[in-house]
Amino acid sequence: MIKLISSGAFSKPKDKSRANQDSILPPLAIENGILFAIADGVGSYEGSGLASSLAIKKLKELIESNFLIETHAVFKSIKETINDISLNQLSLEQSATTLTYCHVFDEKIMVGHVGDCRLYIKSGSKYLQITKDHTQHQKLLDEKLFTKAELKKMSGKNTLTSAISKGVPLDVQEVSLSLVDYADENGLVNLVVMSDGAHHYWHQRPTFSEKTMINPLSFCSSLLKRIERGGPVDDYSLIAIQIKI
Amino acid sequence: MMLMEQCGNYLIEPVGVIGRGGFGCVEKINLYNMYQGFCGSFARKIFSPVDESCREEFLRRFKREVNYQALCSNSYIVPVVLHSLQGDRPYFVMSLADSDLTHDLRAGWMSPLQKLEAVRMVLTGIHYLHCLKYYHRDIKPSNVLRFSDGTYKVSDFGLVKNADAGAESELLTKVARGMGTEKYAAPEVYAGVYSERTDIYALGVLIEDMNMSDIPGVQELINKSTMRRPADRYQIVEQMIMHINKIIEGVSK
Repeated sequence: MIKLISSGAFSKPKDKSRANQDSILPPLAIENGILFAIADGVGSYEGSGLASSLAIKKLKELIESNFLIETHAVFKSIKETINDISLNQLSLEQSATTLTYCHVFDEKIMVGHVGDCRLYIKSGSKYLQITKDHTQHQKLLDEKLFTKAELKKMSGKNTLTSAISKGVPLDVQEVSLSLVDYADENGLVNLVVMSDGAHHYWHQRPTFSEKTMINPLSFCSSLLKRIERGGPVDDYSLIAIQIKI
Repeated sequence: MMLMEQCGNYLIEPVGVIGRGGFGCVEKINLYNMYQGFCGSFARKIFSPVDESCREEFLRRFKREVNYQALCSNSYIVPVVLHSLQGDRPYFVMSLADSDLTHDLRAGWMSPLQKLEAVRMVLTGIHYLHCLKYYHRDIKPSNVLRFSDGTYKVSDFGLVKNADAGAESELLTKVARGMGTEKYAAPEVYAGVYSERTDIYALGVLIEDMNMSDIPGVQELINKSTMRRPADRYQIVEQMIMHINKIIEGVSK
């Protein structure tokens, strides 16, 4: 039996004057498990805020109606929903969103991911990044076409190679982890999902005190302070949870 | 005489369709001045997309194509002589070609020196584009046209990108969309990266298409242009021009 011990979350726009294009699904109890997610509307395109909120709404519906649904089927179905946005309004044709969700059930952690939000899991004294960014720079590095030093001089850091959008191929990352492998001596597991506006600041110094690292509420407020002190670079969202198995 | 259309101070007499694409068609036209004096035969590219759902995006690209191509003034770039971008059927008029490089290569009449000269012309045209900070992004033999004086010129600016314009949207997240023709696409194009070096890769494949690797120096030119890592390729087209000049010098001796 999985028990949610504590959780913290925020989702804020870069500028207070404009809408937040991130959407979040705070931890939700489904059957014997927990589901949480972040979708980040792709900033360059009209209707991206709508796309991210629809992605979250559809994800919730899909997993609530069949919690064993296959990850690729989840993304395919959400993509169909996003495609329909432009049926009545052509200007929304390029609306796009990322989506990273985490479904914990049956002692398993199932992760579905497209885009550049990141899911981390606590392992020892560190948080390990589980998802891989679908960004231009990451792809160029993976394929050894450019070195890190070459990429530093290049634009494209914010260019995604996959997203949920009409006409863009889906490149779904599916990860399955065993809860037991990440549980501490008390059976506690910590997970964090962040949009790029949040992990931009986490990545700069990926650590807090051990007390903060194990407490989702402290983690949440410490990173929020760090982002707001430095000045947001994008809309910023985070969900941190601690569960007990 | 057929019904004439007016474009500024000129009259256009359509002759017949000579090509079609997703954007619409290309037709041969006869051009006259207002006194019905014959100015010559030209090609007119007319915008009428097959897929109406893409009309807005295609129209944006079509207008960009006209603007970029019209700004070019180089012996090895097909010149735009007239355009009308208003109304339901936007179009532009350019010089009428006799053939394109694909057809000429298939016909098999080109000598090694003619092939090398054709390559030099294409390289000079692309070098000019790069100096304007434009990337062609769709270099291939069918986009290289031959004119009556034997000159080869670069055509089809449908995918041309202004390198400076890219920086403006860098702050916002966007999704990379690959474009161009697969065979001529450098590996980094699949991640949405375009640069002088992606055009250089396409030029290398185009040279390979010309079947002249037995000429001393040509295979090295192809190899260096099509290296997998962009940093290992020629960095600017001017370096390729220097290389081809040496090859031509050797062949001409």
